[in-house]
Amino acid sequence: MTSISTSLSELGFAPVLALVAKAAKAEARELSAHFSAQAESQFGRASLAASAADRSRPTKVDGARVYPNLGVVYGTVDRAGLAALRADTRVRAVRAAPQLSLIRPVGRQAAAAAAVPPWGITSMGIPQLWDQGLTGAGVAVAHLDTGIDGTHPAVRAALAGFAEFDISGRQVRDASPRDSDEVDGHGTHTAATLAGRAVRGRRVGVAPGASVYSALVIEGGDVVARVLGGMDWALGQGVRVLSMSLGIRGLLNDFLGVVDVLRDSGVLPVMAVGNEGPGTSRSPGNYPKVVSVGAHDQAMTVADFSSSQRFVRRSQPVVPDLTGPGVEVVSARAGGGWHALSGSSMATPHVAGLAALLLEAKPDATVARLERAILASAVRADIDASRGGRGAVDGPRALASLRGGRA
Amino acid sequence: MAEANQTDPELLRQLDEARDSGATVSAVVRVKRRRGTPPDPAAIEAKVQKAVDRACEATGESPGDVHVMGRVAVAYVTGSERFVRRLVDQPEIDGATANQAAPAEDDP
Repeated sequence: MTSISTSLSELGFAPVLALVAKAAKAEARELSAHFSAQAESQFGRASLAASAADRSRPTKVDGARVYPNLGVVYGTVDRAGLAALRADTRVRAVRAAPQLSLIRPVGRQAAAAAAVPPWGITSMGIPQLWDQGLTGAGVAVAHLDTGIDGTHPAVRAALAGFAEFDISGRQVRDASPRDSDEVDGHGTHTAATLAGRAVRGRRVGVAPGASVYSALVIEGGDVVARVLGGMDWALGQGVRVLSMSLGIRGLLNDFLGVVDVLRDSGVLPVMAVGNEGPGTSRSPGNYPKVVSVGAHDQAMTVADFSSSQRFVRRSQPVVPDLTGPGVEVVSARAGGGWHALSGSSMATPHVAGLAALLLEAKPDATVARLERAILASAVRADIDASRGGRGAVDGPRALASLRGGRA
Repeated sequence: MAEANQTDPELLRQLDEARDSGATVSAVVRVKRRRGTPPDPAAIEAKVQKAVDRACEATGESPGDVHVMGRVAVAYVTGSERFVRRLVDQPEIDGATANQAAPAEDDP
């Protein structure tokens, strides 16, 4: 996990937990004066009380969240705020604050899948790869999410394996495929974008021949071991790509070693960068060794909500690496039918699906080669590098790059 | 001082709290492995066993639960604050993280 000092030096602010002295618990709320509302913070503009009219300087507001029973105050501090917290005799200790959660969609709409593929698939040039016979057949892809509605016709045949994990990272026995997200059916939507089969001629999946190994690793009570259990299981299924649309806000090292393991095991990690806007990102979607995916819209501009961040590091200093279709993406709705969701969560399975198509075309491609082809495919167009990295991912260019031609 | 380098601050916070309360701590420990090749699950399991045995010997306590995830070179462990601290200090262990995240802000 990244230390407070690292966050401060790289970002200028840090998410922290202030542990309140037992005798001062009643005064915990007063400590919020030490916290700053950053105009562009880990937590996004929507969750802080920063005034739109006064974003030029950090504002001292009640941007902190107080947990009086726990004796904890949680929020973002700048250097001055950190010093004030540490000097405050009511504060027992100040700790960096980790947080793992679903990258929840920012918008949802009722929708019907049309006879033509959704705009995201078309804009990536995926039908051109289908025309060459590529569907992702024979490629196993891991899908770590809220689970999957295995009865939905778009994903029923794609689902090669399902597992649910408890808080110790152990597989829950006899678990049937289900989507734990009763609001959005997040996992069902992302799985169908990844590898959904055609339903009465309607195609929403990028790699409609790929095999999906779906792990339910997140819902209430988000814990690290559940995600690790899902990764461990997926490696045992022989997956070549891992699609994950969840993460911890901020740059935290919890999964760094595991990402190395994935790559050493021949698995390309494709991960969402987050939905909290400029100056924010999530881990592990902001690690240099993953394909970090942001969201663009139909006009090929980066979505306002899509996270982006620059780090002080030699390798991949800007995240996301590239963007995928992530606004009003039509895909499967848990329980049946279709709906449109928006988020970097929706963009990520587009890229993971493309990776499956590429692996079918060149099964012996290494993780590094596959990653290079995907990154080289990106088209800048009107995408600002600081917001969208290399630009919008493109299927035919990725395939050309993988086959040795120019992207 | 090795602990400060290996252990995430949230786990340290939970360990500090458990020292006063006597509560059980849940941690995810990362096991050392050779870089560049996939972890050998059996070797990872053996390393965890060795580390746990040594921590048991040193503290006179047993872990509440141990679950090794060998393909990703990690193990989930629960135990007393003393036990977990001692386990994290073992040479087979690369680092540790709190299993349960800190109090979370709602998603926007």
